[in-house]
Amino acid sequence: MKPGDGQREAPTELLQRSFDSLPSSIVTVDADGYVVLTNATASRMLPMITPGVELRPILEQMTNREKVDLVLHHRTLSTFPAEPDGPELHWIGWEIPGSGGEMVLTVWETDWSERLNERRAAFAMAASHELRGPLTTLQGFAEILNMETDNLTPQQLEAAQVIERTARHLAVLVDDVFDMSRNSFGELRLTLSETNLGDVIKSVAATLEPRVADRGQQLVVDLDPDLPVIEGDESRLTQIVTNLVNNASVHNPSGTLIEVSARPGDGFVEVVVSDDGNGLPFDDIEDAFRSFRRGQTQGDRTGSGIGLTLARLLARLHLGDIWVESTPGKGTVFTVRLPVDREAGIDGATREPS
Amino acid sequence: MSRILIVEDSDSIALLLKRRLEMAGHSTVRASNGADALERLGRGERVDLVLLDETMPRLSGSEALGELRLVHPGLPVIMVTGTRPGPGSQELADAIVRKPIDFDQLLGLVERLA
Repeated sequence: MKPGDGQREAPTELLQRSFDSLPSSIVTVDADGYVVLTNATASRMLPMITPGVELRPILEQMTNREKVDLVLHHRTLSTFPAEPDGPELHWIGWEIPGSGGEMVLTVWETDWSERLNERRAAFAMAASHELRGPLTTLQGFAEILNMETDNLTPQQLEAAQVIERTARHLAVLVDDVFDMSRNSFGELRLTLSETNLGDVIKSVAATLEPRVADRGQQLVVDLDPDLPVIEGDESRLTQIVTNLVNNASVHNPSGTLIEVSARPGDGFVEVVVSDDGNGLPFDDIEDAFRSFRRGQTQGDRTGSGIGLTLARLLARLHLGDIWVESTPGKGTVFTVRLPVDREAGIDGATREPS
Repeated sequence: MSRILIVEDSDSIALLLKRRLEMAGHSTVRASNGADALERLGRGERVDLVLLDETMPRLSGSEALGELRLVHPGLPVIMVTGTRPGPGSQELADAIVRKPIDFDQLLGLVERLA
């Protein structure tokens, strides 16, 4: 007899204890969608999900229908918190084979994948560093070609200009990736000084105007003459406006009118970047600010989605925020609100525009 | 016009720097890492300014900069960095330029410092 054999428990009890000691919640659902079994972690993490309750209505109180569908029907990982201020939870469900519709659902906390995320962020940071070398060469030699206006044919010159422009765009994307990964390490910080937003907007417009015009679009700037100076990070504010204008230009057809305006409010300044283009293809408009979401409906869209995520992040670092409204076929309006005085202006700048 | 030591391990970036500096009327010599640069200067190579890449094998830019400051305290040095300058270079370098390089900025700095 091997040691311990005398005390060996029945396999089903061991199974139950193993089931209860898993770090993730396990929920089994019958073919009608009612919860049958939960493990101990589920009772702790998801006290609202108990045997006998119908699962779908409970999940729909936590998040939108599409995400619930992802979990219940599409065997796709979905992420949402169980309670409004609770931790983000990862959900995935699959059918129990041969069961005629019974499901098992696994739910785990973000902490679990934190180390993986850290490694990803470190990789993104290293990659964006490494990319700078080749980018320097590409952009630099394209610039040299562009100085040879007398020795190149118009087609060659056009090619050189496209390479240079693309290299510059790539540099912006690489910077965005770098900033996002820096933010994962809490290293993204502002250098604050008194900043004139009107000057920021004018300089962004001057830089981007040629690229916008190349796409057959028009860029218009409308600044209120009484804009107050705000406490901000000039280069980061430049990044916010650049990303919003770039986004409006890249995702819209020739003929689109893009307008950047700025006006003072009560304790804040509002910058509005609007276009009369396609509108955003998201069912959940907030997806516009989530990296790597690019909407389902348009095949030829470019851009990584990082730009808008970063713009919102930078606005929030300024204790402001960004909102978006969009109508398919009519256009999109991004509103950035920034407090004039960071200490005093927080309330005004984070209240949603009415 | 100035004589500039380009310290850069990447052949293509070194060539780019050489071309742009020569187009602006400067002459250049190249070292492919920090140790090579210090050796050249130690042999008496006369230059007016050093362009120093940060990330290099055999003595990185910031390591080379520390030693260079001991031997040639008055020689102007512009650091060229990918993302952020290495330890100490913020204080020791005369200027820092980020990649991708803005040549208007770089050529302006060369004019001013050399």
